[in-house]
Amino acid sequence: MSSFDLRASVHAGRSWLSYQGPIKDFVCLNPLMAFQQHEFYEGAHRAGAAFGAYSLMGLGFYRTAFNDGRITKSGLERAITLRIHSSEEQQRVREDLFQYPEGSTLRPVPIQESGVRQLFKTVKRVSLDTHGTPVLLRLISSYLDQGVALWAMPRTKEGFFATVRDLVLNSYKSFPPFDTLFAKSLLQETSENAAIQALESLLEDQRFSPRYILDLILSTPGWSAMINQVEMKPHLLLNSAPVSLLDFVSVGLVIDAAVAKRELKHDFTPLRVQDPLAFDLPTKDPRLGTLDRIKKIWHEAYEWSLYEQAFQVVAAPNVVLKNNPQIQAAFCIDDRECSIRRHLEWVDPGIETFGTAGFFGMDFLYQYYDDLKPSQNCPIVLTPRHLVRGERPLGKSTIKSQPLDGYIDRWSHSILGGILVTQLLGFRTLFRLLRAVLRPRAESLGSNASSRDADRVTLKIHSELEPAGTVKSGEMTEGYTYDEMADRVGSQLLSTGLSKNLADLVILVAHGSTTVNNTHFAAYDCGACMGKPGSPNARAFAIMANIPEVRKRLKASNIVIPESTYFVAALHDTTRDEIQFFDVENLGEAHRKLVDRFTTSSKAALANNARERCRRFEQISFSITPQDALNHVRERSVSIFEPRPELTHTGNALAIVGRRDLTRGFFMDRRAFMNSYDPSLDPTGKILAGILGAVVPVGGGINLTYFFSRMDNHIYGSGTKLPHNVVGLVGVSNGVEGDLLTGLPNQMVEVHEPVRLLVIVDQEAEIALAAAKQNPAIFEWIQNGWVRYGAVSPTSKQTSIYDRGKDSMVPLDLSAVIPLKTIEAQEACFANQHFYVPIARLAARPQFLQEA
Amino acid sequence: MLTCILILLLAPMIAAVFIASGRRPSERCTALIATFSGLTHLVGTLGVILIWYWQGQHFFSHEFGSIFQTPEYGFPVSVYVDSMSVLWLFMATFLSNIVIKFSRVYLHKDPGYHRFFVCLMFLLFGLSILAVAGSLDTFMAGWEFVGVCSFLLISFYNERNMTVRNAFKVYSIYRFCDAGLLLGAWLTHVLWHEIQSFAILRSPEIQLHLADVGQSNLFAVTCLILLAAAGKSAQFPFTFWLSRAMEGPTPSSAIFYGALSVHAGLFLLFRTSPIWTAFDWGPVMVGSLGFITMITASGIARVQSNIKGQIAYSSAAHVGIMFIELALGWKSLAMLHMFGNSFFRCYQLLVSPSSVALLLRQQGSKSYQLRRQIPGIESILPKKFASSLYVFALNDGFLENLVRRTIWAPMTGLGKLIHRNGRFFILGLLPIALGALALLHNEGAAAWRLAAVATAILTSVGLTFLALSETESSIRAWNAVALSNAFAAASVWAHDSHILREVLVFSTGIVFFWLLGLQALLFLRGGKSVVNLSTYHGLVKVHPGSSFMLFLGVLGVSGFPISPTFVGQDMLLHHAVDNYVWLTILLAVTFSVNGLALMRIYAKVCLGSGIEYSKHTAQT
Repeated sequence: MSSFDLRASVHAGRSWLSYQGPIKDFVCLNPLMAFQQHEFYEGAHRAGAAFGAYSLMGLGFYRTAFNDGRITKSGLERAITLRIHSSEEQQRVREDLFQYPEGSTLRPVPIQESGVRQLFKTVKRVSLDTHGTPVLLRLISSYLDQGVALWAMPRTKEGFFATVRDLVLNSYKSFPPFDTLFAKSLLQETSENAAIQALESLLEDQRFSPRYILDLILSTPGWSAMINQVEMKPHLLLNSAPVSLLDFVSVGLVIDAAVAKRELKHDFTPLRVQDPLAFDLPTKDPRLGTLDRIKKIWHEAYEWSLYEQAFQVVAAPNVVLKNNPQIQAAFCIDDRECSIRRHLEWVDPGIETFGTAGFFGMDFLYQYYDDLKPSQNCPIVLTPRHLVRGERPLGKSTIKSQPLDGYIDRWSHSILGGILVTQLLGFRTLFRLLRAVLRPRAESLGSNASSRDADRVTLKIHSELEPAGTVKSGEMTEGYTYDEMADRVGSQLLSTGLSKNLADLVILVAHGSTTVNNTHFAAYDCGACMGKPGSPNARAFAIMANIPEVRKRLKASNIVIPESTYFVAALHDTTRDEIQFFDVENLGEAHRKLVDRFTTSSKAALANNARERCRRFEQISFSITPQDALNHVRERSVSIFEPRPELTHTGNALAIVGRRDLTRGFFMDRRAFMNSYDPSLDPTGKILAGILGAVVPVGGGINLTYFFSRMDNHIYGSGTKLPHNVVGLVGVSNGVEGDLLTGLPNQMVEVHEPVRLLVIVDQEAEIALAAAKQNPAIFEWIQNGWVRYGAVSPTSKQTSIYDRGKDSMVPLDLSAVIPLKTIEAQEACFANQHFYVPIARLAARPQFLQEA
Repeated sequence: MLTCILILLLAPMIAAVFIASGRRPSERCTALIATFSGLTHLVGTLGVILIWYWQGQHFFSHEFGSIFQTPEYGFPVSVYVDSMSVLWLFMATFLSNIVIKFSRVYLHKDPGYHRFFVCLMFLLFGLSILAVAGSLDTFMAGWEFVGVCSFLLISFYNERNMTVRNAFKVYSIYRFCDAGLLLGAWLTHVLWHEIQSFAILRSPEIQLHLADVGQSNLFAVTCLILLAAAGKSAQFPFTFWLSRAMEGPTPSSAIFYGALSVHAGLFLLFRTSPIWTAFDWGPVMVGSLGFITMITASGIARVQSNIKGQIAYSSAAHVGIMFIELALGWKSLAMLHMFGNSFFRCYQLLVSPSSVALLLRQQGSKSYQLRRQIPGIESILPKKFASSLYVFALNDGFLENLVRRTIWAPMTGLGKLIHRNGRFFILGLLPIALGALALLHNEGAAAWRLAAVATAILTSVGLTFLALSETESSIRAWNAVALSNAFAAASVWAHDSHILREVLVFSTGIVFFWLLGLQALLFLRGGKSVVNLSTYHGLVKVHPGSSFMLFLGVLGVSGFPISPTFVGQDMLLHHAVDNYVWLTILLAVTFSVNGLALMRIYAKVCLGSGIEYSKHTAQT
């Protein structure tokens, strides 16, 4: 009966959609994941052509960067010579780079604006966008609402289409545009038949139906993407509802047909497409024009100007610690921890710092005792099999009461409750408002980094199954057995290089963020913990590593943890610059002292860190003292009027996988993810492959989210956050009837430099390449240039970068690059600068030793 | 007292002009000016409050005299301060200061930083005028300021078409209801010649005589006032605009639609309460309107799945409750309610982004789920009935459709009809008017005059609808509006040839701003032969200067209180005397719709995405 496959067409539409789920666990993933099988520029251009987005900055941007010195001459030369080999061609390009006209700044036509649905709208003069789309959005946002509405949509078990059918057919008053007999008869069909019949009424030739479906999906890309994600992972919703993209498309098609029927009445006939060729999707490789080629060179020059500095850092002689450290602290690889680590080492050279993905190898679902459902507290790429509960300690019998605000909020929307609330509490709100703007204080409104560690919950780590301990694979278990613990702890210690020379105190510093009035709070938390604070993971690791049974098992596999070593968990609040410890009540005297020492040192370090962060805020004076800076960032985190509580990952551009010796004593300006890795423990590259498995998707995902949100904030980002309206607690939109907005708001990315992530590994080039190739999914990122991949040899210090054409690591010559500056004091690196500053070498400290 | 009032009126006005005239101002400078003027306003307000308190909490009024005095007409400028003014001033100054403090950080780095503060200052100015206005005419000036600021703040992010469309939607409702206020003001002039100010209205002997004009006249006045109040306060059937207005930055939505502007209609009802209570059924009308709104709006609020929409409908429902309280004569309760509601909704809107964290924490919390609230009324209703109610609420009570079908569609439909049959319109009107009038008044010269008046005013109305529905040439629409104003003036002049001076006052404003706007439009079209009105062109990005000129032109021609036309309109209405009620109504319609048509031109030409895609695809 129909000449096309509905399910296949809907399925084909999925591949164009973003992977962003509900906003409560905002995870940074490559927004163009659908294009990742292409080479980077080709993928970006294909996506740009499909969505009507810019894929690179304008020529003016790069030329200004060159004039400002952000693009260096050596970077530009390298970009030219790496791309173009004939010298005549190079000469021509050099001229074009500066002379070629800027050209049009218009966006390309997006798919849905040039498709069959658009043709239908223009030929038939039917305003589907003003009369159809708002109805669809209103229905779906009520259907998937997670708790805004006081009266939820009466849902049926059969899904969205059936719910709409029930609603429309059960109402005395007809529901426009479903008020024609035609529309009602469509609704009485099954979802699939309705879609097919609607398409038959819209289009004469069913060959164009797949395109129509794609146009429809892309006309509301935000909601389509949300539905697609929720369909695949229903657990993402707290208040789950059966939903499928097919249902959504069916309702959309019925609405289109109904609107057309309503407006055209008897003139409603299927559309005849005159020129079928016009609707071929852009499947061919979009060959780049001259302008694009020039932009590409400029862009690479922009990247290389930074990459060269990073390579200089790792190629410099190693800086090692003279004495054995007394405290070792492992931080998340997060670029925001880059500076706090430096400050800590600077304040107290007895502290050695490490970096590792902030879930510390703890792959579990976490359930705080007051949580209805557990939530994933490890990278999105993992599928956890363990559940850890945070249990209420026995001493505390009462549940901390919910903040009163919440109740008021609900009451205030009913008639009687509202009268009471407004009359009685109106005055109180007056003072609240005053306090909120004059003297911001922590409120119950925000997302608090340590909210789920409140009440000193005890973690239930140990599995009940011990010692029998056999579980069928694929099943969820509570807690870990000793073997499993030893396995997790061991591999984590090995991969960070902490398996030898352990200090007496090892601190695992997770991180989280405290913000108020912030819809994107999850994007401020730990990306490796699925947008949540990593404290349960750090605590779990510390508990496991302190269990004698676990240490015994580790010893058997050659990882010796000395008797004197004790593991402690802490949480760094990246917004407020605070560090708090967990489970330190029963420490021994020696360890207590060390914790106190760390606390003292960290106080100074945190203030310095806050000072360094404050220089990026334009409304803050450059001459602010560290203590004032600390007060400022703390006030900032609880200010309801502050759209930039912190600048999050805005600096991210580099990822260095290697020993701290490579980067110790360099001012990296919070630009690098840093993962500790000891090449001497890993001659085969097996450990490296494991690290890349987390660093590339997590770091690359964050990097590309920022990259594309910055490139075209209107298409890939969510625009300015000032007018955002929360819809159904799953996302934000503009106004009350807009589509969901994906990506990051402008306030988070406006000072970001769009540079692809450069991963540099501390390993011989061949081993590094082999390690990357072990996992095809990871290698795809590298091969297609979605992240750049470099290596530095631990023995010869030769640097190299992966070349797609040669499929090998090509050595780099850094002789022509301007050497890094050496600067006495850290503050001098960024004095009077709001924007990024070049990487610099800090003058040596006596406790540091430069290797020959 | 007068000094304080002057201070609080001038402070925001001067600040707005200062900020707007600065060349490349810094954010710090703008914020300082705004803060300073906000605080000055606060000082002025406190002064007013204290003096009012010490003078025994009685009302205070002062007449400055008339701007334009002729024997039979005067445009009085007067102030009037009573407890309601004091309350309103306090709310305005307090919330404005909060929002200024909030926004100076919140809007940091926004390209519209200065524009935002200019609008905010003008808004504060408009709200202050409302508070202290001594007569309906002065009140009208503040009312206009609030309307235009509203349009500018809703369309703050004017690169999105939906935003501009919604801003225009709201403005058109404002404009439509302004016609009510305009007519209401005129009718009070006509009915009670001596009543020029609110102060007189309050005196007991006048109150006794209010009812003398007859119940049907009172009914008309009440209807008009209620129309104006319903429009501004988002009451039935205009409730839907409030949620559409949630497009600007959160603080502007908070102060406007959560807090102040939405209560302006209530304020009008307070001021005019002697008039509508004089009508036997007045309180019943006000109360029932409030009741209907309360029921529909709170029902709609229940099903909103987005935060701002929910707060907007709740706020509208509460204004409905205040209408009821006012109708029952519980003035103090209504005032208290207004006070509480405005602070509360303002706060709710300002912290609305927190709802993700807050509500999700509740949703995911065991202890909260255990204490779940009592199920709503819907759970006890029969299924089909509940379902119908849900559909009703989900569709915003079908109010938008209702308003579109009954008000908007006839207007544009008429315009299109005239457009299609242009010649017949011109040729047909004359004989029709002549014929009709000859039948009615068989009196020779007077009939001829009447015919001339009728033809002129009908032409004027026709032209304004034509301008409103024009889709092709912006210049044609612009000229049509100007011509329509000219015909409107001509109609009054034909009726009473002694008022050349008044017509001149009216026309100077029109001509000046018409030329200004025309110049801007000619410049804006650039190389193109014409800027059409079928899409949004977003030219403000390319030509901010000319767009601003056009905006001034729009304000001037539509009778905004920056041009003599504002007084001119009032005078013309006044002179279209008693027995020609239809002429007055048609004039009011012309003036309102002209304002709408003008704003439409501005929106289409200057605002919107102006999206054009690069036709050059990747292949070169």
